[in-house]
Amino acid sequence: MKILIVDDSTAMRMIVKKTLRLAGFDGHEVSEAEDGAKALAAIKASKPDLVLSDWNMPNMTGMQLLEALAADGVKVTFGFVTTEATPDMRAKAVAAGAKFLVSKPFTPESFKEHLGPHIR
Amino acid sequence: MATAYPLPDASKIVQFLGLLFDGLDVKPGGTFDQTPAGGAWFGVFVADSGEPVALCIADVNLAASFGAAFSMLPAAMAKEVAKTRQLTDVMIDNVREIMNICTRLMMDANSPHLKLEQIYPAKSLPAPAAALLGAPPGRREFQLQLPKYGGGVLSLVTT
Repeated sequence: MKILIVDDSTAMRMIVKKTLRLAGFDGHEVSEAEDGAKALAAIKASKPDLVLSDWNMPNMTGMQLLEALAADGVKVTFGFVTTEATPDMRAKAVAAGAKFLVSKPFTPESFKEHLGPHIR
Repeated sequence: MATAYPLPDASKIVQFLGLLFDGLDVKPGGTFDQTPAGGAWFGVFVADSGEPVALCIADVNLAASFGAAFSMLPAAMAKEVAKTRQLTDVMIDNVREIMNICTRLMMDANSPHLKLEQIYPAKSLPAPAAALLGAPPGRREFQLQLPKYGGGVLSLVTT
């Protein structure tokens, strides 16, 4: 399975990747993008099965990325992994087509819970 | 005194920064030179208003260890830089990355928003941020050890 991690923080991308491994999601092809705009290009080029995106990023936010994918008719399982998650953000994410929103403090257990149904 | 922004304990730091550094050891306590001559690096965190509300401080030894370990630079480089107190640009970028991650250590579901504004060497710390060192409502020190790279003191200051 191809998984794309989108976050403007190198350290956070490393942490998400490590948490995936600790949650038992080994053996997948994991790639990274540092903002929404780069992720949009990467998704169109490499067609990942799952996108794990931060919410706030320069150039294009995670929500703008999700909306751009929908506008372009790109079908991909999309979830947010973000520090903050207000009820309003959760509602907006779901309305825009996100499958899940994992918020701080995310742990291998919360990854298993939210990502498990989407990783095969 | 109660603070708007929470302070983590050692186990929370291990849980989070340990995802970046395998085998990270964290113990509470520690002292360091926070004067301009001391060579520490200060992450300044601001509220949405732009007002400084928290600091994350790495003493020069920890800043050198963080800076080298994050890019897996030679461990000897961390020791050399700790002596000269001259971090390379790559090491400074790495310290910024790690301090940005430390934002998560000073937030919880009930705390107001804060974000890393910038990191500064001690000698360039802006006065409004330096004022937080005066009598902060919350402050904790920790001794961090990174396998192979050594370590130093991390200090978190919150209002």
